[in-house]
Amino acid sequence: MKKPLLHQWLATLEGKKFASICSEYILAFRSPCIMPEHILLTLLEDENALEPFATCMPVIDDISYRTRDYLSQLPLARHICDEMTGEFAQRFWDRIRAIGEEAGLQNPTSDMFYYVLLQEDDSFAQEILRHYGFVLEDLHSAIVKGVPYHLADLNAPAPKKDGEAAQNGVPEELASLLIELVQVAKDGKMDPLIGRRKEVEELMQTLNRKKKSAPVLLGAPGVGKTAVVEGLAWLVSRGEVPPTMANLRIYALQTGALVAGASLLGEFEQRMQNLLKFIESSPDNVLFLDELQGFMGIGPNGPRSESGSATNLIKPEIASGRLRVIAATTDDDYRKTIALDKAFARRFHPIHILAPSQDETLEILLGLEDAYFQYHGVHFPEPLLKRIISLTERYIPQRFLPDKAIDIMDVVGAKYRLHRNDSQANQAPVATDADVEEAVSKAANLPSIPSAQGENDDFAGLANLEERLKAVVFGQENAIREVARAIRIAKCGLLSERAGTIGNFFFSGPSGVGKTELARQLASVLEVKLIRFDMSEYSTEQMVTRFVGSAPGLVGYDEGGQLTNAVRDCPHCVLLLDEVEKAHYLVHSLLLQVMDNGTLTDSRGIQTDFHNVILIMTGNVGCTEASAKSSRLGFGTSPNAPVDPDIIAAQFRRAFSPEFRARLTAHVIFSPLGLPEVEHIVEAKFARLAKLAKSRNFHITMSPEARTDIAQRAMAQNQGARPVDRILEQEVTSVLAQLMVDGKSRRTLTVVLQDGKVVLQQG
Amino acid sequence: MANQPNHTTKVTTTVRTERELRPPQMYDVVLYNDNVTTMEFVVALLMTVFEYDREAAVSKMLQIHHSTSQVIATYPKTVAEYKKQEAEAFKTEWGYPYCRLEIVPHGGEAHP
Repeated sequence: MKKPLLHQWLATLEGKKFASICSEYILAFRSPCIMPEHILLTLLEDENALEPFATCMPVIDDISYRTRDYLSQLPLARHICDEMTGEFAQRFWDRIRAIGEEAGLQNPTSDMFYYVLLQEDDSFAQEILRHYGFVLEDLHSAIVKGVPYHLADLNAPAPKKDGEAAQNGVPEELASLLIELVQVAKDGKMDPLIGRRKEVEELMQTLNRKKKSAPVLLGAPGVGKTAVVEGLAWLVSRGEVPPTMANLRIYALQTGALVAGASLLGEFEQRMQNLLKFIESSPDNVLFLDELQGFMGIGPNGPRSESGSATNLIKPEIASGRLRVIAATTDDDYRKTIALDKAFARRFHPIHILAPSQDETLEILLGLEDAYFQYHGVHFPEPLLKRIISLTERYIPQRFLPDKAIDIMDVVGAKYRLHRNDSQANQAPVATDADVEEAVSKAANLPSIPSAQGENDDFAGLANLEERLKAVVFGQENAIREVARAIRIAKCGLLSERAGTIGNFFFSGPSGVGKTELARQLASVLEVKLIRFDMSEYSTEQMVTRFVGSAPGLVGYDEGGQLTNAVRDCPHCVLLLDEVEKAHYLVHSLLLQVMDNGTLTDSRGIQTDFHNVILIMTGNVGCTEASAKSSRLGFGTSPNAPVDPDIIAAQFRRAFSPEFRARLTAHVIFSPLGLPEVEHIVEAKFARLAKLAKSRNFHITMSPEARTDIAQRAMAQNQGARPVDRILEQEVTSVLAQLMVDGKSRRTLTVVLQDGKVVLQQG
Repeated sequence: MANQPNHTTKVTTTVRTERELRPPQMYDVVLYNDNVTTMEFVVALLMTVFEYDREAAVSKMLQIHHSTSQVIATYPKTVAEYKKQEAEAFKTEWGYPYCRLEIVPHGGEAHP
C-alpha cells in the first residue's frame, strides 16, 4: 500500500478539517456512505478551493444549491457510514495520488479534487461540473503545468478589447465606460469626414481655449453632430490636424454604463471621480458626451436630483479648464434640459450645426458610397443619390439632411444585403430608382410615390387629370376644369412664391352634386390619402381646441391636435373640410395661416407642414337662397334649376372674411345636376352593382326607361344624386339579394319599368 | 467558446455551448436465486444491508425464490458499489459465498 503521502495530508489540520466537513455532509443528508457530491460540497466550502470560479462567483451558489437539491432527493438511510471508506473513496484517493505523482506534488490541490471528481463517471458531481464548463483536459494540463485553473468567464470582455484598453492606458474599471474614437478611426471602423471643415475648425478652436474648453454642438436631430466629432477623430487619426491637436484622444462616454450596477452608496461618485481623474491625467484627453440631455441629472439619487448628480461633479472641472469636454445635443433638448441649469449651460460654448445643403449632402453621400458598398455590396450611382436627396426633401420634410438621405441609402442597401446571392458575387448589383422610391414611400407613409423619371415626378397623374376626373365625376366639367388648372399651375412650380399649400379650394353648391366625391376622386387619381374632417363638429369655441390640441394644463394637452396629428402622419394628402361655414369663426382664422404659410403650430409648439396638402373646403353657403330665388322667378318649379352663381358669390362674401377669400386658389361653384347627369350617375352606380353581381354569376342589365325613372325620382327629392343610392338599394339591390338567397332565380336579369314600378325581370 | 470580433459592427460575439443538466445514471443491485443460500440469510441480508422491513424482505425473498433474479435496490453508482461491498462482507460473515449479487445500470438491458 503506497498511501503514506496522502495519509500524511489527511493527518494535517487541513486534511482533518476536510474529512470532518465531509462527514458532516454525509450525516446531514443521511446518505448511506460517502458520495462524490459530499466532496464537491466540502470543496465549495473551502475558500482556497474557489479559485476556478474567480471570474464567475455566482456559479458557486448555483452548483452548491443544485448539489444539495440532488442529495436531498435521495432516500434517507438508516445505517450511515460517515467515514471515507468504501470502493468509491478508495478509487478517489488512488486517482488523487496518481495525478499528484504526475504533477510531482506531495499534497493534493483543490484542482486535483475537481479533476478527480470530473473523472467519476455517472455521478451528479461530474455532471454539474461539466455543465458549468469544467473541462477535464484543460484541468489536467493546468495541474501538470502547475498553474491555477480558471473557468472561462463568459461575461468577460474579449481578449482583444483588453489589449486595446491597455494600449490606450484606460484603467480597467473605466474600460467599459469609454470608447476611444481616435483609436476606432485608426482601426478603420469610422466613416470618413466629408465637408464640415468649418465646424471642425471651430470645434478645435474651442478645445484650445484656456478655460471653458467645452464646446457643445447644437443642431436638429440628424444633421450630423456626432459625425462632426467623429470627423475630428478621423482627422486626428490621419494626422491632418495642427500639431497641438496631434495626440488628441477623444473618449466617448457610455452614459448608461456609468450608472449601471452602481449599487453601493458612493459607488457612482467613485466612478465619476475615477473618470474625471483619468481624463484630466493628460491634456490630450477629451471627454465626449453625446446626447448631453441624457447626462443631465443622472446620479445616485435618481434623475433631476441636485445633490451628487453628474453635472455638479463636472461643473467645476470644466470651469477651471482642467477637463476638456465635447458635448452634443439637439436644440430642443438644450432648451428644455440644459439651458434650465444656467450654471451648467454657461460653461459650454455652443456651436450650431446646420443641416447641409442638397449639394453638400450629395458630397457626403458620395463619400459614404464606398463604405456602404463595402457593407451592403450594392452600388449607388450619383444620379440615384441625387434622386434620394430630392425625394427625401420633398416627401420627408420633417426630418433633416443628411440623416434622412443616409437612412434611405441604408434601407435600400439592407434590402440588397438581405437577399444577396453569393453566386453573383463577382458582379455587384446597382440600386435602382424603384428601390429608392419604395423606401421613401415607406418612410413617408405614402401608398406610392410618383415613379416618373428625373425631375418630372411632380407631373405624374397631372397630364390627364381632367379626363380621369371627368370619367368618375359627372356633370361638373366646370369645377373639374378649375381644380385641374389650379393644381397644374401649383405643381409645375409656376406660382411666384410657393409658401402655402398646393391649392386651397372652396367648393360651393347644393347638396349631393359631387363636391365631396370630387375631392375623393382627386385623392385617388393623385394617389394620395384623403383626410376628411366634418367641420360641423367644430362649431363651438371649445371644440376648436381639438383641432390644434388643448391648451397647457388642460386634459388632452399631450395628445396634440387632430388636424395637426393627421397631417403630420400623412403630409401628402387631400385635406377635405366638409361644411366649413358651419365651423366656428376661430377655425376660419386658423385656416388662414395654413393657406398662407403652409404651417400650423399645435398647442405643444410643434409645427406641422402643410406644403404638400391640397386643401379642399366644401359648403353650401348661399345655395338655398340662390335656388329659391331662381324658382321664384318662374323658370319652372324644378328644384334642380340652375342656381345663380352671383347670388352664391354674394352669400359667400357675406359668410367669409375678405382675408379668407383672398387666400383661396379658386372658389368653385358646382352647378346642380340635370337629368342627363343623374342618369349618368344611375348608370355608373348600376354598373358597379352589376360588376359585383357578376362575381356571383348573375348578369343584370337595366332598361333605359327604368334608368330615367330612377333618375327622375332621385331628382324630385332635391338632394342631388344622393337619393340614387337609396333608390337603387331599396328597389334593386335588396330584391337581387333575396333572389340570390332563394337560389331559384335564373342567372340573367333585367331591371325594367312595369306599371310605373321598377322590377327585376327574369330572362 | 469563440471570440471573434466582427469587423463591421464592433460587436464581439461569444458562443456559449451549454450542456443540459441530466440526472446521473442510477444502478440496480440484483440478487440471483440459487439452491444453496437459505431463505433466512436472504431475509437477513435484505433487512440489514438494504434496509428492508421484515414483511417486505420476506416477500422480496419469495420473489427471488420463484425466479432467477430480482432487483433489490436502486442507488447512485457510488452507493450501489458501497452496498455491494457491504453485502459481500455480510456474506463472508455469515458464510454464504454462493449468494450472487451484481450491479447493473438501471433501465439497461435484461440481466443474463
